[in-house]
Amino acid sequence: MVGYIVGRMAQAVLSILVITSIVFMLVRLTGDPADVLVPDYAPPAVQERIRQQLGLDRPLYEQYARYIGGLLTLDLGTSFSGRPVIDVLLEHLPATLSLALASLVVALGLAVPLGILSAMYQGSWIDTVARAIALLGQSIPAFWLAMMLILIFGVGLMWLPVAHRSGLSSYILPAIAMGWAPVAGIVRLTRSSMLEVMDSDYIRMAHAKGLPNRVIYIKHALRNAMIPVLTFGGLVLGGFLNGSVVVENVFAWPGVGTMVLDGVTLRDFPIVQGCVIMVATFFIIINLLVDLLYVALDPRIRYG
Amino acid sequence: MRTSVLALVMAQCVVFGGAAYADDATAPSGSIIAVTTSLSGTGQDNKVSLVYNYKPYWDEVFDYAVEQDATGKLVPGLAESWEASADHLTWIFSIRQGVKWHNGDPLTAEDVAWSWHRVMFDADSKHTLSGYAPKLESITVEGNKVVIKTKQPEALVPLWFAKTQGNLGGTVVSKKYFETVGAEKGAREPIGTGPYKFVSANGEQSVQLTAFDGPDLGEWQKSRIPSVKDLTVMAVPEASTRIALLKTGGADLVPLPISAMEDVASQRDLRVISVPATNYSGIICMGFTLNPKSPCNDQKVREALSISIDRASIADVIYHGQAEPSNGWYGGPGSFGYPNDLAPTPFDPERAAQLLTEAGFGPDNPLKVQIVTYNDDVDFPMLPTLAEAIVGYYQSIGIDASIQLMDWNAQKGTMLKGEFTGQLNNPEVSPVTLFMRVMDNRYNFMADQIQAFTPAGKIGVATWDNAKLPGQAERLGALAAAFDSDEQEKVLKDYNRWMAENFNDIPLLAASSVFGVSPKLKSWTPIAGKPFVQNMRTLVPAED
Repeated sequence: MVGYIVGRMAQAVLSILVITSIVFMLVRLTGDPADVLVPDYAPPAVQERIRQQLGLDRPLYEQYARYIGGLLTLDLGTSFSGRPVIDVLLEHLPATLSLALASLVVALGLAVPLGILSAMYQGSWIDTVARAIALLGQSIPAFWLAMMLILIFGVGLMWLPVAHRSGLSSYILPAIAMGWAPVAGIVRLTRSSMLEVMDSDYIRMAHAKGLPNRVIYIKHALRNAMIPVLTFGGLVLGGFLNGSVVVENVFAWPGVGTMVLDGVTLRDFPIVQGCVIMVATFFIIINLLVDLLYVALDPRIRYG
Repeated sequence: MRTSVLALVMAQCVVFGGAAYADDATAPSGSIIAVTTSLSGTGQDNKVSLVYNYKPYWDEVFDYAVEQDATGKLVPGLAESWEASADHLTWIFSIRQGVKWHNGDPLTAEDVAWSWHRVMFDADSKHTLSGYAPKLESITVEGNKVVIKTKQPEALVPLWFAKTQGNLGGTVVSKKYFETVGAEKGAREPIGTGPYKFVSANGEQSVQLTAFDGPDLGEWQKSRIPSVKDLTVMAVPEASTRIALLKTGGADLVPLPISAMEDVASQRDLRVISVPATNYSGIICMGFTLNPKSPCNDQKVREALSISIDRASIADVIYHGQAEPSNGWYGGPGSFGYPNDLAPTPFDPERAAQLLTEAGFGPDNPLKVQIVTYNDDVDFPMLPTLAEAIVGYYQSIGIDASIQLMDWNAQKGTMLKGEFTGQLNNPEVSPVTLFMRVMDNRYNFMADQIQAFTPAGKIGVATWDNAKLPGQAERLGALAAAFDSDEQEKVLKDYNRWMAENFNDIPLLAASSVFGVSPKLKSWTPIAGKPFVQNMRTLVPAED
């Protein structure tokens, strides 16, 4: 087990190193930031001065070495606004993390019961409705859903705030907009997983023993059926951190997504770089944690 | 028709902004929420930040020595006057007496000199002004005067420190406060002399301001006391969300995309106002004067490329009347330095076709052009659509025209490197690259004329060879030698007129910025040429 954890962590570190290298190269392929940052009317000396201050006048390998060296001490560089990237990231991270968790609650809260019902009443109208909802979730783009939610619940009914993070009620619309998309996948996974488990010998035995359905489904079937759902849920959470740009932008949510968009618009490359690395790191860590949780949930699983 | 539209737009602003300022007897009251697209950079020192999205609130908190009137012309701010010495090597700014910082301390000329000095000379300064530092001999203080000595005559020194679009370099900060609390806190919790006091910031989400009022203020500051007591400046990047906020009463003044104008105007109690001439679009024919083989060296070709475009129709149809045909190199009707009596570029496709024939192009040998542009609604709305319309006009007179959309960063970089087809001494000149870009309508471009289009200027190298453009050097020289605002305006008008008459470029449109206004607001007097919420001290709340 220890060997497995160490191996996975080494893989994670290697993945992060590869990602940071790719990001470092990609942002430099899009052009010289100094060209954009300096107004047309500025004296040429200003451009050169800024290039020096940002270290862009150094050879690429030197910039890379400094960058990697900085990463080891959590120094992600300095934003073009003058602030350390790590400070800017940490300022925006709570908004994104809390929204991602709220969205996960929405996604799981909606999808898992639907998946269970769908499996319990396979072939019935309940199953059809559940699968139709799942299909809708997969078909509706998040930005469109976000705008519809704003129009209906913000502008039309005036029940909920339409922008910014300001208390629990402000989470509802963005969490639904973001959490809706993976509902389809989770419903299907829960349904198929439940059906598979319910077809197993120990469930048949439970039925034969005369246990009530509630106990069979919830206590015996669900726990085993949840293992793939948990894996998927972890990936979904990573996806929320990754894909929050659109929803955060629509709801003016002060998170990492909005920050990335600002960074891209302003060509603030250190910010973009820092965000991508942070999100990738989160994704890798979540994957690792999910794998480790497997072991905790299913004693049959052992890693050699 | 176009003039009448402009007149209507201006009249709208004037009528709307009629009772702009609070009189002495009226204390600020009410609260207003103004929206901007981004507040990134909030709380940062203007000396080290390359991001200026926080300008909408910053400019309410701080004052500048030199400000702008509604046309963009420079007018007194914290400096009640300025003048150049007879030898043009010294500029003297007389700083107002009796101006107070928000903490009650008096403003001094030392504050002004220190603010400018740190931005120009500090080693960590990233501001554009640091590039002008080598031109200076010294910045000193004599009584209430700031004295700037230059190594060579510099006509545009007041413009360097002015409250122009995007430029925070001239911000006057309190030397005592900055030295006491440090630059970081000084910027994060700013104390200025402006009409609004900083109260708090919620990250880069919103900033809370309150009117700077008090019985012991001097006359100048008293005249600038806002009518609105509490002002929130809020960042909302997505247009549909801004509109939703306006409709639900969550905001009172929001920037709108032109496409949303009719929807907002049709809502009960909501209004739409336009700020004219905020951005200007035009086309530069790459290779003109730089490449001896460029077809654009022939004035007939340049004229054909210009008069084949129906600017008025584009403004009406694509921009819903929220743009004006422009005929100037920089700027649009109503902005400083634009000759308002300049006849509009005619739309004459028949003459354009005839000119192309005379230039040696025809059905068997069509002129091939490629419009290179980018998509950035913040700079100028719907540039790709504008390019498509122009391609249609070109094709109708037999020009083989196409479009290349690029990222602005890549486009600018390619231009600076001289890599566009036909741009420099490249034997390949076809298709002719037509570089379609946006310039904001600020007075700064006067400096651009001189700085960038001189032989040493980088942009100049990439776009024109001044030596091969007869008349250019004399006019740039005249601009550089104009030390008086009226003279500058005269020379700039002459320059715009000369550019138009010789078809040295292809001016297109001056676009307006559109704002949605809630019934809580009675009036607002925006400054022409600024595409964001600004001059918010002139907001007047509606009476209950």
